[in-house]
Amino acid sequence: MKIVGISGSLTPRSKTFITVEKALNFAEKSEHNVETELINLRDYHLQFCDGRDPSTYEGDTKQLIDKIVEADALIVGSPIYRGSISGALKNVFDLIPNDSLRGKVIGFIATGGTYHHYLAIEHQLKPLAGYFKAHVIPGNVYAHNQHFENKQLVDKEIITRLKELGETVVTFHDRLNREAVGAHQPSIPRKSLLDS
Amino acid sequence: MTHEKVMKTFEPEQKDDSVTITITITKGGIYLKMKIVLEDFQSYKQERMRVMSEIVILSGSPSESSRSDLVLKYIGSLLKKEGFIVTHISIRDVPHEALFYGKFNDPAIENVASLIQGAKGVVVGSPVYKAAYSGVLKALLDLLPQDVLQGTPVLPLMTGGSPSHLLAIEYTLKPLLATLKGQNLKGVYLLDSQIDKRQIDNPIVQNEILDRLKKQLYYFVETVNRQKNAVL
Repeated sequence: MKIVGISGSLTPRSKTFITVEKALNFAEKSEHNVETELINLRDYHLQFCDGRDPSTYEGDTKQLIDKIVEADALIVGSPIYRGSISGALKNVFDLIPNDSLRGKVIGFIATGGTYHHYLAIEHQLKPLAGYFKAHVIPGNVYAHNQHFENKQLVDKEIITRLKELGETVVTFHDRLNREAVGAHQPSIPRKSLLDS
Repeated sequence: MTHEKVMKTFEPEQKDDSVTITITITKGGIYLKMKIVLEDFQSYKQERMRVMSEIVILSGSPSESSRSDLVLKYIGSLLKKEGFIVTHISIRDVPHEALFYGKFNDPAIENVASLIQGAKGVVVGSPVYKAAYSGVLKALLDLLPQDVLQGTPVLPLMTGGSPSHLLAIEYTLKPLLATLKGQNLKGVYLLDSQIDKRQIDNPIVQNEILDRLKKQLYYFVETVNRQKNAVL
């Protein structure tokens, strides 16, 4: 099983990167057949989604799309900016094919300055999983400034919950094995004005 | 040229239904006397008062000793000081039968609807239950006309036990008020711990949040007044 983690922050050594990395490590340790890869958006030179066929992107953008398409399950982390997902991470969701997350399991992590934007996961991240017909594991992790010291995650409860999140992603994928995909949705034909 | 003194006298005389103002200007031996009578002054005053305001404060808390209720009462007292006529409505005052069985033509529901429709501004408060507004507030709003807040500035307010639910105001209460065509203001989220139930006259115990509330209230009053002046 391949689990891909995505850190949706562009900040060096971000809270988002630290928490996603931690959850991914716990997932990898929980079973022998788990392989993980952490995608730090800071390391990728991505194009902005411009509505073209996803298969025609090149370079880093193509690499990132391929990694997400090939993943069995994902752990996605976003910093919360203005009460919502980071623009950089939203661009990733815009780039990937509509069926690329279908039936896959996602664990969500969000980070912020205080607990005030906790509900952004419920109202901004989860609807995206809904669009892609992915399974979101119950229980998210939201970490904020007070859970960190000297650029390290120190809060024991948050660490425990990241472990639970990582392990649940593995368990969920084991049980579902991408077989529960739900009702098919009408397809959205891609049509550019140039084609008409 | 000698400086001649000009004398002016101004004598208002108020009766029940009129005001007479007599102005006398005297210069040298000549005087000019003017009398202005404002008739039907009382009804003018009443009409002015009616147009003047009417803020409805709606509480969505079912609890008998509610923190959000206390804050709304406090907001009411501040608005009264600003010269507004304030009406408090609590979902506790609406018959349970009407809410539970969806009786939209119940006189109590119609009364609430007409009060809100006639309001120049509305404050809506709710406690946070399960990361959203209270069910009973929704039960009441479900029974009101779909455009009950048309063109009305609305100040949303929520109280919750944890800072984690701050966004409930953005994702649950505001969309609901927007559906009823209200003009949402930023709103205020208060923590239970910032409200002292024993201090009825001034229940907000933290200065930072009190300042924020007053600032939002100031924006609300400003918006209400601006709209009122545009109408007059």
